[in-house]
Amino acid sequence: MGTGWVAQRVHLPYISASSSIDLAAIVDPDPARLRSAAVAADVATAPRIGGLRDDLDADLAVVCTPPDGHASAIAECLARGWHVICEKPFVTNSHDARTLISTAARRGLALRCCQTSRFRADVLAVAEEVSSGRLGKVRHIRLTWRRANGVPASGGGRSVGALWDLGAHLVDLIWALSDLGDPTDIAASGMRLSPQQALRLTATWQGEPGEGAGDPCLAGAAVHLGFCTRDRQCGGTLGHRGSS
Amino acid sequence: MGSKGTALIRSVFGNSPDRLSACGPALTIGYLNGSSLRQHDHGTGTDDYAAQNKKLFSTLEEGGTWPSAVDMVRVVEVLEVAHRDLAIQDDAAS
Repeated sequence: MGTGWVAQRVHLPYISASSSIDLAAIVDPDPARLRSAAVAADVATAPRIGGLRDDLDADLAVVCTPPDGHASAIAECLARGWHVICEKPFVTNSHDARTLISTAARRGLALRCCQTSRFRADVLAVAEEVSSGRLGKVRHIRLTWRRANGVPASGGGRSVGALWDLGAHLVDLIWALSDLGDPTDIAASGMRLSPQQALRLTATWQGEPGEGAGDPCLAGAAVHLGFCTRDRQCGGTLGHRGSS
Repeated sequence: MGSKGTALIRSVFGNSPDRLSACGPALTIGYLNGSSLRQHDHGTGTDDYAAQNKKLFSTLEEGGTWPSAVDMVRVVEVLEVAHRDLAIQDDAAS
């Protein structure tokens, strides 16, 4: 569902190359994009899910629509009995998130989000260091994404902005790197110097007695747009015995 | 892929936690983020979005390496609060 940038550059190439997935249908309201994305004659096409025939033989839907349409698209897919993989950001409010996850669980369907940064080689390396215990209890996680060209021109970036579009990847890494649980406090700040933009987000966890003398644990994520000449993602993890 | 990244860290800083610690809080692993299917070679081997997605698609089972339902909700909750914070600041500035 949705044939924009991420579908054309990430999902459709993978699905087309996969020997274990057959593409059954493509849905997009744009007729031109729909025609160009329909790689085989036997692939059904429709401008919306309701346009697909009821007996379409499908198991899994990949939702790549602009993020502000994710919740309704996922709900329609679950109602049809399809497992769902959704591009990030999953949805843009926690009520929808809980409702959709609960609906999927009730129907015995899988619902997962493409928060794929946690599978990057460098992230996996740091996660391994953390899980090994060599760094001790995690006290600080710092994540930064600098983009030379500002907000991505994709539908995701345009429809919900940099915080949701880029922040989803960074924030997901907090839990990919550690088992901190739910934060006790969250704060964000922003700066807009057109065309530059900087967003900072800090989450705090209450320190546990006996581990770091009760000091709070901090995780910070920052998105800097237009302040640099080259895209770059950086991260650091500090434990009470070491850092990576 | 993880072992290659770890190998890089160890080749530079050794296996000792003390040496890792001595390097300070910011061993930064750079990451060149180019076009989606271009290989990202940042000295830790290679990585790309297709490989990341392959891991996601490889199983629909609960748990494992998938971002869990709990993590999915947590990400939305954090961004929701941050978004609200930023909106309040925008209102105050305008």
